[in-house]
Amino acid sequence: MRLERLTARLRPCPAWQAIDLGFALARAWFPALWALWWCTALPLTLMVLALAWLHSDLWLLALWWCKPIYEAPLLLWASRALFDERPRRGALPGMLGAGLRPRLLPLLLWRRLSPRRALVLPLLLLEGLPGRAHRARLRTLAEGSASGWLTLVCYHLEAILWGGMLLGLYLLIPEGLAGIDLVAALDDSASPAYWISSACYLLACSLIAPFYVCAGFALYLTRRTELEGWDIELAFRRAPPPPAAVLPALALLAPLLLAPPPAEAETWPDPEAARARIAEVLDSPEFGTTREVELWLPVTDPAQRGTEDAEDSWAATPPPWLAGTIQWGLVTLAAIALLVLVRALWRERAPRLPRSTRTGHEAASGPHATSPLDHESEIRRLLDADDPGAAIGALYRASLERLDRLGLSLPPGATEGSCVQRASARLPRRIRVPFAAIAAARRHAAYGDRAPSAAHVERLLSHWRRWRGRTGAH
Amino acid sequence: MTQTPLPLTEAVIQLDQLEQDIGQTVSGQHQAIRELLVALVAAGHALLEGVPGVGKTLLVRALAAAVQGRYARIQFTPDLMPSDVTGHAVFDLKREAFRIRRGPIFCNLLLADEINRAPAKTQAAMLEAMQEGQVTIEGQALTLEPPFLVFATQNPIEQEGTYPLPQAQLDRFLLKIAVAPPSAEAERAAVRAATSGRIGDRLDTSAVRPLLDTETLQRLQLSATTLRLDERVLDYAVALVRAARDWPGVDSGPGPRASIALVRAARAHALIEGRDFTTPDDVRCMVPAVLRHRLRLGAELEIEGVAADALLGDLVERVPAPRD
Repeated sequence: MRLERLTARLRPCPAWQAIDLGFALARAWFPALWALWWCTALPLTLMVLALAWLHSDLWLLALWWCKPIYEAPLLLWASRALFDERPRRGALPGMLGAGLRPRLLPLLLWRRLSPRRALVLPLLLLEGLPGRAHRARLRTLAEGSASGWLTLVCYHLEAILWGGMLLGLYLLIPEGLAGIDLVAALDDSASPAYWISSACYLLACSLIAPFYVCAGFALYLTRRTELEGWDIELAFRRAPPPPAAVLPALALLAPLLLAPPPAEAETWPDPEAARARIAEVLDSPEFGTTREVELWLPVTDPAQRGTEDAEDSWAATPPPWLAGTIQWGLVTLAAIALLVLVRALWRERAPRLPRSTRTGHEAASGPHATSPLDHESEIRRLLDADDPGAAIGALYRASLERLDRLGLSLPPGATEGSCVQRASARLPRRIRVPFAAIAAARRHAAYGDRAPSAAHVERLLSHWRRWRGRTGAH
Repeated sequence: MTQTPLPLTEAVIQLDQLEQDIGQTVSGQHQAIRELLVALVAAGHALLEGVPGVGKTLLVRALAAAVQGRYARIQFTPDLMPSDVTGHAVFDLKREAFRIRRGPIFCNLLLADEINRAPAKTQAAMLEAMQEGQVTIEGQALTLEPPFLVFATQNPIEQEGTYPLPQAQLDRFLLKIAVAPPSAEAERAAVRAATSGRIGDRLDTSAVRPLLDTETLQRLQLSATTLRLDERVLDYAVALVRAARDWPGVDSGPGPRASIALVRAARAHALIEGRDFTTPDDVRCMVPAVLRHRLRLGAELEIEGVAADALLGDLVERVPAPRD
């Protein structure tokens, strides 16, 4: 591997920086990579179109599934371009044939849905290790590589790009022309809109693929750099020739290396001299550099802490009165905020009615407000007083109260007709029929000035007593 | 000649036949037909709003066929002049004097088709006629012969090249009738009826019999005004209109004319229902048609997409109905 020909500067870095490097590479090589993607994808697209019998959903699914086939050439091209070598287009089929064919099956079957596909691809195509070695290698390389996140992010970018293109088309088609039905574009595979949507998705895939592949490749390179010290190796290779000061040391060592093996007693050098020589070598500027780093560390020494506490005691433990004041202030603020929230919710729930509609009406509207506790005795009293009109009114209100207890929601604005309508929709016939009769009698009495006869009220009362009894007296 | 109200039984029979005849001609529009009859009985003008092809014009044509009076139709266009509606003075060479040539507005039933296509000046020419029942030409006030009813139509979706009716003119309409597309079943029946044994797509109102002459119509209108109206029903109607006026989010609410319109409409509805007294139910069911064009919603409600009908639905639920 000719590391000195690398066109990118490799160094150990976090995974996100590696992805960033991959994106930068993809930007630099985008035209070539994009064209390469289409060179592979277009024939396959047309072939699948014929095989799928013009079923757009099958066509799209097949193209989506075959993504690794279009991504492999991109990776091979990028791996050459990184070492400043631009492969000719004619050489790519040969490279693909050798690199991709044996790994095609795993890529399209059990590795297809792997979230680490971006990292698996260089491992399979560039290293080509057999099963167990591959797994061990993948475990080592994938540690902390964020390749799963890369896949997730790229899928989202694809979706956003696809949605944006579809929405853009939808909004930009002038009125009067046949527009795109967005619902059909998503779920009606027989509609032209679905075909347009599929084409948009394919375009989005082609735009994102170079970035995905290069980012995966950069992750792979960065991880190898970290594990194998490529950057150190590169630094040594690019380092200037050894300075003159080292040459005497090497000259001193040379006789030791070149001399014939001495006798057994003389094989051990003088420890003092060796130590001095080692120290001399270690002192040379090639070994290590010193740098100053400032950082905050927790103080663990109680003695040291004591002296600092004395200086910052006020900040560390504020006086109790101040803490209490702050605490009560916060509690008060929280209580005020809660009250404001409750008030806002209440106002939201019940829009303000004008004063004129609230006075008098609201008090009389609710069935609980005006109904006497003992309705029946009240109705009897009114009948005895020869006022059947008022008696039917009392019976109507008592019925409303009963319906309310039965769980029939009657808003204040419910008129006789709407009460009957609601009762008809939700209550059994044995209740709704007598209630409708009561409401009709009440309507005639109240607004038509036609009070029912006392006997009619008695009949209605006995019906009411019956259905009230069946539903449970209060 | 002093007119007497039509007896209740006779009025109910007439209105029932009228409703049936129009219902045979325009299928699936029971609510719109009922509201149109309310406008007829309450002697109020109505604005019909609906998308093209739902039968707005046919509705009015069918009503005109049932009323034996003078019927006129004006197609409102951007170049329509006020004198095209009201009439104008022409110089008579024989008599050497100006002669008034009366416009199509001199009729009993006027169909103002696509009223919002005419400019404000022409729309304003109708204001006097609708409110005061008279037209002034060359300084001469000419009375319109009663009954005079305007049924205008407008399309809610086409805004280009239209002149929205000003609030003052909208207020002149007793009702704004929303003509919705019919149900699938009714549409099927309408398609069958319109394509069986009929050439072309002319509006066919042959099923409507001429049931009412203008005198009977006026007696019918008088009957509605004599129905009993309890104080509680009156209070309820006024409370509803006042609540709509002060409702949160409403920029400009209905005025007292709306209270009058609501009670008139409720009386007419009670008559159509065959009652000689008005109930809160009559008021409640006329609230949308009477108030929907008299509300101007604020920006907040507009942004939230709250329609006037939804707001009015909430209103009738919240304003207490009489129960004491």
